[in-house]
Amino acid sequence: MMHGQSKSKAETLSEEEIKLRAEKGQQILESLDYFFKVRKNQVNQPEDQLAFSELMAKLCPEIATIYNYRREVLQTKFDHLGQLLSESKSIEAYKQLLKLIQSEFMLIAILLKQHPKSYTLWTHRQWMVLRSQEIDQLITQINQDNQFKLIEAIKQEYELCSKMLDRDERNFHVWNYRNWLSSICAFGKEDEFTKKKIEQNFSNFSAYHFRSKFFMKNYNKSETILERIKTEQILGLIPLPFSRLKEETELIQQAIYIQPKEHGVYLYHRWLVGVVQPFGFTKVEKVSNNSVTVQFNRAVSNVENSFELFNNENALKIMDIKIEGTNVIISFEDQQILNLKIKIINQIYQNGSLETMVSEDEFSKFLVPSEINIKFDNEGFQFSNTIQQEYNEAINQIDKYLDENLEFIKQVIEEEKQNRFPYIQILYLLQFKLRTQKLIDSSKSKDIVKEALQHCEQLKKIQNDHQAQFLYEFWSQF
Amino acid sequence: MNQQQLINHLPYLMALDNSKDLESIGYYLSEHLKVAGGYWTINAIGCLNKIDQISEEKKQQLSQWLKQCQNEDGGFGGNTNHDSHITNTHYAILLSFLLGCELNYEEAAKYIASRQRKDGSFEGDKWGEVDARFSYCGLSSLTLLNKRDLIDIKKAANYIKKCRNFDGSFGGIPDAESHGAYVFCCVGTLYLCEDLSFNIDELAMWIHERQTSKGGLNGRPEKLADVCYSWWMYSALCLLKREQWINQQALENYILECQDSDGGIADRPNNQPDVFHTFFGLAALSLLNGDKYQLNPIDPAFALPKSILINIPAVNRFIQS
Repeated sequence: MMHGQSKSKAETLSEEEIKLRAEKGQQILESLDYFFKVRKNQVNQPEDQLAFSELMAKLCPEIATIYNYRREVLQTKFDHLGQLLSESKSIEAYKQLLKLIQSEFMLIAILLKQHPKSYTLWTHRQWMVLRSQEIDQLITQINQDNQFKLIEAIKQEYELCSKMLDRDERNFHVWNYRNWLSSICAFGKEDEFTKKKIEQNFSNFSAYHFRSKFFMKNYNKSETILERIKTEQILGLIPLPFSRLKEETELIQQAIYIQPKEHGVYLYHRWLVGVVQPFGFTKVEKVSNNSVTVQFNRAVSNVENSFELFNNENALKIMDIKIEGTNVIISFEDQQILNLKIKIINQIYQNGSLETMVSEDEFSKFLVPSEINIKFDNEGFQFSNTIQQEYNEAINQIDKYLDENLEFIKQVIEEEKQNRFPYIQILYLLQFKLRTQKLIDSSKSKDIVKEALQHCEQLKKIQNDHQAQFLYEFWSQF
Repeated sequence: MNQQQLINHLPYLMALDNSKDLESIGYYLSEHLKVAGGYWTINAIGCLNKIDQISEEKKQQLSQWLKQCQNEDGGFGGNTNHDSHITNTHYAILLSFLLGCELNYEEAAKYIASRQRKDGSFEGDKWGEVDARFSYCGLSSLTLLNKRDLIDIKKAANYIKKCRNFDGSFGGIPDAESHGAYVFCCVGTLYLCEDLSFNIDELAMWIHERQTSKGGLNGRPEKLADVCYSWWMYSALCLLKREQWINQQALENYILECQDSDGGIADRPNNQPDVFHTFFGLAALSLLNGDKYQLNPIDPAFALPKSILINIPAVNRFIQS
């Protein structure tokens, strides 16, 4: 399939040119015909199989079968030379191995210049890195003075990625390859590299994407997370310390300020502001002799181990936990309830984390720990919720951070009245604000919803934005 | 060019076989894409409801050739003599359904199943490349062949969920940037695994934000619109029952704008058409407004005409009415 082929540039060919093309085409087909005969051993193997497959690769760079053949040839040579090396420590074999590796990387690099988005070529390069790794291990075992130095070779791979990203900063093949290299030999510096790409071009979404991955992996290591939660009062799926988060937010605000018409910057901003959202209890909906329904400030999942129940200080056995959106229905053995206490447990504080927090499904494990007391009187029940002081402070800090970001987006709206992105953004931020507000003072919720609906109205007027209708309906349910 | 009508693309499609294309070097260099090309061409003709206009002789010829593309390992190459690959095996199966011919499905199913790794992902071939495209090929093919028991469905779904990103969308492998074409592969796979337990609204919002001012969809932020995304992402919206989340009329108009007055559909307005974009343009139009353009209903999960899928009991529960 061909992309980006302008019709106006389509040539009208002369008869001579048509003839030449047809001839060239015939040559290609004949070469391929011969190649397949070679492949199936229907004719003798060419004397230099590598030279032959190189010719074929240059003629038809997209045909995977050619590289399959080449890999078979290479593997045979690697095995043979490896064996010579093991058995006789042949210097000649050693030199040949290095030469094979180096020239293969060079060949692929040449082909990649013309075909930077070829899955076939990137797969072949990856295969070569893995073979190089094996050969490097073999050489080291044999105690040879290993001048191959895999690390140097990998450094050059990073260099190649840098050069190719300079040419096309959004080429996901390069980004993926570079990311994969870090599993072979991590050089770190992903923080620096992604930041550099962003500073080169604030709308490089690929850089933001990999930055988000870097944060999630490096700051959410299970060994440090428990400690970080206790010292930094982390309340959401926060991938980095709050102070660092604020720094990063300033960076993306700058990007939005410089390129407000780009979409990607809003996505990254939205994510940063969203990960820090506190997740907590808002009210008791219902109580009976065998169940209690508690509500949270957002939809819940994975909270099976998040509760402890007590009736008059006696621990209650939880029979079942059912989730319905923002409500959790906890069932216990039928009995007379005198004084119900519910302890909400933050599973991470309690149990630590076995895996890095990469999925939103893990969100519910970050519930704000608190204690709910339910008392009964003639009119029904009353409940009170007690949150530890440090967590309250953290929630208030987050609330302040949200207000700052809301102010920022409002300024963008002032400058960019016909741009739908800041309007969509403020609706997301107001959603975060609403959730946080429900934990602080739920009486203010109505004002937030009202403000959101006003922005929905504005959004509807811009470019007949289809999404406005849904957002309006979403906010109207509040 | 302001197009509001669907041009008749049948002559363009029927002529793809003949010498006109032999003038293009692209034709020779895409020799390895013959099976895929066959699928795009015949399926496009299928969208127009005109498969019966292909002569029996031609169909026989194609069927014979297709059978020869199957290798000893059970898989199919992109053409005769080419090594097996899961994508070409999938295309071959789809094409055989369109042509109404039988292949050695037992062996093909075994080849596909053998591509699944322990972590649930699928390799393209024995050389080890892993990608969500291959997961989709695996799930789709084995569902069509009623051989789902040969693979671990749960693990397949779990692998795809690792491809989800901070923006709510999906990339091709874990850690890869979200991309419109991979949305199709990942949503299609999860749909066929009967496990859509991810934040659907978030993904639908991301897809919504792919629609450009001209109505077309782009694959990623800050990229150009392309007609093929009309299929990759709109079909996903259909599977997720969020069709209304983009401006359907605007997308329709964009696809029509991408038509070439001489027949065929291009990636964007005023570019050269090709069979790939012609198929995806027609398929998307069929989903968007098939009745209006008198297009054959196509299924968003399997990308085959519904009229063919009706005859396969194994896939009944996956077909939306």
